[in-house]
Amino acid sequence: MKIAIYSGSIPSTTFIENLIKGVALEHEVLLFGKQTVPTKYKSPNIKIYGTPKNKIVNVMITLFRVLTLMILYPKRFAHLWKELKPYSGWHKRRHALSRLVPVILHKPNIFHIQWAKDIKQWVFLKDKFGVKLLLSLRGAHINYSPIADVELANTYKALFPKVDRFHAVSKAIAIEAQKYQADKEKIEVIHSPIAKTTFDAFRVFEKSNTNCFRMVSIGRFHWKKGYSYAIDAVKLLKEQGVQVHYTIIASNAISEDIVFQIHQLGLENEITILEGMPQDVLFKKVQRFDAVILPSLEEGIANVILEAMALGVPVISTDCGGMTEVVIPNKTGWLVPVRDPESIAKAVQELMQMPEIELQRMTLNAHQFVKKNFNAEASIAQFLDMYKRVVG
Amino acid sequence: MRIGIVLAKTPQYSETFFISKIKGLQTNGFDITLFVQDKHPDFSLCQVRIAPKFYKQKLFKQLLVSVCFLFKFLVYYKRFRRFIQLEQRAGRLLIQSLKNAYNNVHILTAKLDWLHFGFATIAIQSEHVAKAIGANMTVSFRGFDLDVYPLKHPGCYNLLWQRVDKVHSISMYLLQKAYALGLPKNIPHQIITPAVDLSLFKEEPFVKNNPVRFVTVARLHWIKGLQATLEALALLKAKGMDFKYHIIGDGPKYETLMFTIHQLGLSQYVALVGKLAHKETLKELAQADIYIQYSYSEGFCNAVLESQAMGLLCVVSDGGGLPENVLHEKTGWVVEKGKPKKLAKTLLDIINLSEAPKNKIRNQARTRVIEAFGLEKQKMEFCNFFTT
Repeated sequence: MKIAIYSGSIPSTTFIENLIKGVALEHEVLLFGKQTVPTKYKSPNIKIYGTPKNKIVNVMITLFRVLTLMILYPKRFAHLWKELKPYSGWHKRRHALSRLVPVILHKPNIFHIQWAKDIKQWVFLKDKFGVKLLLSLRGAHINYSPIADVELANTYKALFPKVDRFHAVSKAIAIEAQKYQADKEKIEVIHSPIAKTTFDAFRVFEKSNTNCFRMVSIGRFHWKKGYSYAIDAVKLLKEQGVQVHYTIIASNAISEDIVFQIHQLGLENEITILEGMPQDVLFKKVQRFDAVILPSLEEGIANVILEAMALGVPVISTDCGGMTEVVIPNKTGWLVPVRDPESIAKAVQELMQMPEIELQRMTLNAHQFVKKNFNAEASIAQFLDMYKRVVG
Repeated sequence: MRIGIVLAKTPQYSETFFISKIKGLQTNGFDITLFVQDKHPDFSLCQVRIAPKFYKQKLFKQLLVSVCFLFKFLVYYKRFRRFIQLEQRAGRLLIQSLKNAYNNVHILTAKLDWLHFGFATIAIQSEHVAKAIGANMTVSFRGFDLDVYPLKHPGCYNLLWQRVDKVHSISMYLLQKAYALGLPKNIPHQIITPAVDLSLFKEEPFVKNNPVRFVTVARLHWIKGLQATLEALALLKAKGMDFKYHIIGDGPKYETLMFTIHQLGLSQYVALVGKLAHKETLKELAQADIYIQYSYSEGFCNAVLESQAMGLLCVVSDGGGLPENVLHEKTGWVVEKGKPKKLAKTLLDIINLSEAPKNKIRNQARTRVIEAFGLEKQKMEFCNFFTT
């Protein structure tokens, strides 16, 4: 079976890359989209048909693909030509052509769209070419973009009924997607797999000997991450006489509002911003903290929390999106309401006062919970099963 | 006397602060030229000169502009030489100095007595223009200029502080902030607050709405504290209060705010009205009971002045110059910024107040605006700014 796993860029995010490698153990996986950096896979089952960034190379390759399509599958070419008509202007058509032609040339049996916003440009694959459409329901694309963008919400409502199967990263997002006409019966909750190496890196949690409580958040600077609430919590703790240090590890530049907030609250000594780092280095670093904090306003299920749980680090998370499905109070971590610095501060105080043995019990619980529910093998098996059923 | 005012774009006629400033100066015999990057086709209040652009995609156009620049460079050779010398003495790289000469060619070829930068960030990389053309240099301070920009660009005004001859601040807060950022205290200064056109506001009996109507005029930008405002209103809703809240303005935080409204269950209570013309904005204000400006920082804030003039009860944060605009419990209420619970409590207290103390605050606010923030007063102050 030929399965296209489409995220728009090659390589993709960690969890999509894990999916690609897992599916390639049984099926041929086709990758389309912009190739941002040269990428190679060990598996011969993974085929890259990227759209080069370089304009000249792009034109040459697209031309070659168009000619091949015209010679081998003239009917498909005719359909493609019609598909280009809605794109206005030569520039947009050329872009669309370079994006669409490899997909039609190598026509997969299943086209698995990773980001819901992309659905509009690919729905013709089902209508014209009988390709089965699968759509992943992830974070922002379902949880807030259609709230602010009425046109997008209407697109979802019109096109979701055409999708053959949905993959939801959490139960919460599965419910949210039903607001946009996603058929409940067609949605399967499959958790994002956590790599085995992460579980292998588990360490029994030890309380640090210093008086200063060290907590960390990992993730880019974006309003949905809610860092300002964690910073407010740091201020509250400081006012309560608690020694605390908060580190944010982000792959992008610090946002203006956060710089301003840190300065206004006089927390320059209590807060450190670090640049993103390779995963193995990051995991070792995270294990030196007393807690991982997720102050987000919206998430599907945040991988950083799953990874922290797998690694054996205590977690404090807001109750947004699917987080309630993994962070269970008194069992696997601390769950706090969104937009509530007081609750974060209270959770930190509780965590600080908890005896080491209790923390070890909780982190071990969390580790086992993630291992049981988010292991890669089970997730991949669920995906493979879903693909089989879609094709029938 | 010839004054050049540097702005990003020509002001719209609703931007009373700039328009009245220009008109006032013209009435008093000043010859005004605006130096901008973009000119609105309808703007005709004074002469406008537009900064040259770089045409990366249009090579032929860029070639023409470059030839034009070269021609001006030769005609005004002495000025350009002086400019580049000053840049070099300040330690700027030659390539940067040439870039700055290109970007400032529209000013370097003008005859001026005063060169006034409408805000501080626009003076960066243009610090030597005034001296090169033999003019005095002045600069106005805005909230963002001093409260936010230097945090990401430390030392960005070091050269400006050395070159500026006089500064204008819209609030005492911003002046103090400039001193903290290194402005020498011996540089002459004047505080001229924004002003309102009092002819727009007639004293009418105040009509109370049910449910109570809140309003804010603000760009949808993080600095405006709109998320915190919405969180405060969610607390009012949780207490069973009914209300309407309109936010007038557009901006980059539209998606964030829409999500916030949705997440806080405020969709039936809050409307993002979008940007409105000044006249329409005044109509919206006229229909509201309480004006909220819960910004993290403001230079001063004209909308708060207008709201006071119209008899709205104003609740503002203590961010930037807002406590100078509204006097706590005299002409409105000032609440610690970034504390939604405190804002919610204040709003609730105000709503529960009887009419007499509310009217007292309204009258005091209106009287203060009439006495201290009229356009005529502002016009006079600007004339003095350039003559004393």
